Amino acid sequence: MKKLLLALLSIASFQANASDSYLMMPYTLIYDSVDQNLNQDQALYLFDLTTLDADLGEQQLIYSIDGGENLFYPYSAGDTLAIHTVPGAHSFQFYAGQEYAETRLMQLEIKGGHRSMYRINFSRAYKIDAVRKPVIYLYPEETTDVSIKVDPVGEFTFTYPNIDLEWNFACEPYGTLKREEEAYRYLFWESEQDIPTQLINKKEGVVLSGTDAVEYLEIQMQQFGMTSEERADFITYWGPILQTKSNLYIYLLFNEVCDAFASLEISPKPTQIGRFYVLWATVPDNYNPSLESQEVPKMQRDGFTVLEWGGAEVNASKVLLEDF
Amino acid sequence: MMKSTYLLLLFLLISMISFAEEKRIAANFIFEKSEPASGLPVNTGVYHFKFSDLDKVDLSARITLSCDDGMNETIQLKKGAFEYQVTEGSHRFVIYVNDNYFEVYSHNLPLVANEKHYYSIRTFRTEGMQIEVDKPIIYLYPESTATFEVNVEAKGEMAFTYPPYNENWTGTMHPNGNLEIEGEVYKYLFWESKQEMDALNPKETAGFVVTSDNITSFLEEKLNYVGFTASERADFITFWGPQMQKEEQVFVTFHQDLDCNAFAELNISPAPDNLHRFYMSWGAYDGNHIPKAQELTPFQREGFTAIEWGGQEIPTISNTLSL
Repeated sequence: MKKLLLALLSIASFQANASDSYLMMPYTLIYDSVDQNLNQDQALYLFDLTTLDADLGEQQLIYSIDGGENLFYPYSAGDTLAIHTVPGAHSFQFYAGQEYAETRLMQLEIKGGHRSMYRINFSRAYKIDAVRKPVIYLYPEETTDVSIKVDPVGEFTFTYPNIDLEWNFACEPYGTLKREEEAYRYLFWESEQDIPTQLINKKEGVVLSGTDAVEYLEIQMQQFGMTSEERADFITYWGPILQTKSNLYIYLLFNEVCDAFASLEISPKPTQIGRFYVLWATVPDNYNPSLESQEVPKMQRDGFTVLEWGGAEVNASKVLLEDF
Repeated sequence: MMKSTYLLLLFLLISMISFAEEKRIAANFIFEKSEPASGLPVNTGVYHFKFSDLDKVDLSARITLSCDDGMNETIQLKKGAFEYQVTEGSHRFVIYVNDNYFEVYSHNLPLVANEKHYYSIRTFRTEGMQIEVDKPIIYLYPESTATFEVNVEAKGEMAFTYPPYNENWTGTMHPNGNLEIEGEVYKYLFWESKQEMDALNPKETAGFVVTSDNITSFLEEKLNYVGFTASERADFITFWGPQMQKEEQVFVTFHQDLDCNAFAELNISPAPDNLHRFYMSWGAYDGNHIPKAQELTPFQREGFTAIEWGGQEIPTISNTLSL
C-alpha cells in the first residue's frame, strides 16, 4: 500500500498545482529503519529542514514535543534536527518564524531501536496574489483619441499592447482600438500584488463546484450588463481554470472598489466605467457555509462606456470563516 | 477502505504542492532499507540505487550523475542498479539515463557512516504524457453573411467549450468576424482537450529558444509573419505571453495546417477558401542547444477565411548533465 501511495505521489507531483496549499501535509516520511546504535528503549527522530530557506526569517526553529514547553533550535541551510526519545507515539509542532506558517500538530509513531527521518513541509505564510488578465474595453460615442493610464498597486507583470506610461488609441464606437494601423479589441495588463483581506466580506459570496462556477459567473456578468463578446473573453479565460476545482469560494468586486487593484485614469473622461472582478479560492470539499448572496449592480451603457474585467486567486486562509 | 481512499487523496494533494514549490525535485528517490556495511573508509557510507522502471535495454546503460552539484561522473548500471560511496551527511543527486527519461533529481538523502542505504529511483518517461491542448480558438471571416457549421473532432476528450458545443457549433457568420449563435454575438469559438503527447526534444525538433524578456517581441514577429491580425494576435499573446514569460527560457515549435490534425480534425461548412491552423508547443528549457530554425508558411487570407490557433505547454527535454 505504502509503495502504491509513493508511486502515485510521484506521478501526481508531475502535474503541479500550488493552489491547494491549505491541505498540505506537514510532513513526508523519508525513511524508517533499525539503528544499531540504539537500544530497544530508545528511538531517534530526524527532521529534514530543507524546505526552509535559510536566507529568510530568524533562522530559529521553535518546536514542541508531546505538548511540552517550547524548544529552540538555530538552523542553517539544509539542516537536520535530531530528537532522541522513547518508542511510541509522539506529537510534534514546528514554527519557523513569521515567514512560514506554523505546522499542524504531527502525530508520529516510532518503534524501539528505530531511526525515522521525516521532511517537514513548511509552507510560506505570505503569498503574493496575482491579478490575472484584466482586460479593458472602450466604447466612445464617436471615434475619439483616448489616453488610458493604469496604475496598479503592485508591479505590472505583463501588458499588451505594450504600455510605456500610458496607452494612446483612436477608439471607435464599436470598441475597436486603433494604433498605427493596428486594430485591437481590448487592452490587457497583469500585475502581482497582495490582495487585502478587508476587501472580502467572508459572509457574502458563494461556495460551489467548479462546473457550476461557469454558469454562476455567466449569470452575474449578464446582470452586470456585459456583452456576449466580453463574457466570452472572460469565460474562455477563467472557465477552464475554475471548472477543474471541486469546491470554490467566489467573491465579486464592482466598480470603485476595484481601485484596490489599480486606478484607471482615462481621458477624455468616460460617462460610465464598469469594473467586474472575481476573487476566488479553492476551499475544502466539506466547506459549505450559508453565505449571503451578493447584489450585482447594473451598469449603465449609454454615453462613452468603458468596461474592465479581471480576477485573482486568493489564498483560502483569506476567505474561510473562523468558526469553520 | 474509506480511510485509505482519503489518505490517497491527501497524498496526491501534498505531492502536487511540494513539487510546485520545489520545482523538479519530486519524490523520485524512495527509501527501501538500511543495513550495516563493513570495509568502508572512516566516516563513509554507501548508497545503493536501483531504478525501478527502466526498459530492459537500459538496465545496463551508462548513466551520468552529479553529486551535490559536483562534476559529472559516468557510471555503468548493473541490472538497473549501482552503488555510490561517499562521506556521511546529506547528499543530493542529479541523474541522467538517456533521452527516453527526464533527468531525476533527489532530495537531500541522509547517509550514516558504515551503513548501506537502499533507494529505488522512479523515472518519468518523455513519451506519452497527458497534455492539455489549450485554448484553440476558431475565427470565421466569410465574404458575405451566411450560416455555418463547425465540427471539431479532438483526439482526446473535450475538456471545455464555449459557447457550449453539442455535436457541432451552428450559427450565422458575418464578414467582420461576428458569429451569431442563439441570439448572442461571439468573436470566436473555443475548445480545449486533453491528449497524449511526447516531450519536446530541441535536439530533434526545429524551433526557437527564446528568453523571458523577448517573448512578446518574438511572438509578435512570428504571428505577424504568418499573417495574424492585430486582434487575433492580442488574443494569442495575452493568453500565452504571461505564462511563457514566467520561465527564464523556453523552447518553442509551431505546427501549421494539416499537421494540426494530430490535435483535432476540423470540419467547417461551407468549406472556407482558406483554412489556416496554427499551433504552438512550448516548454521551459534550461539547455543551451541551438535548435534548427523552423520555417513558417504565411497564411492566404483571400475569400472566406477561417483561422484557428491553439497550443500546449509540454515538458521539454533539457538534460543539463547530457550537454
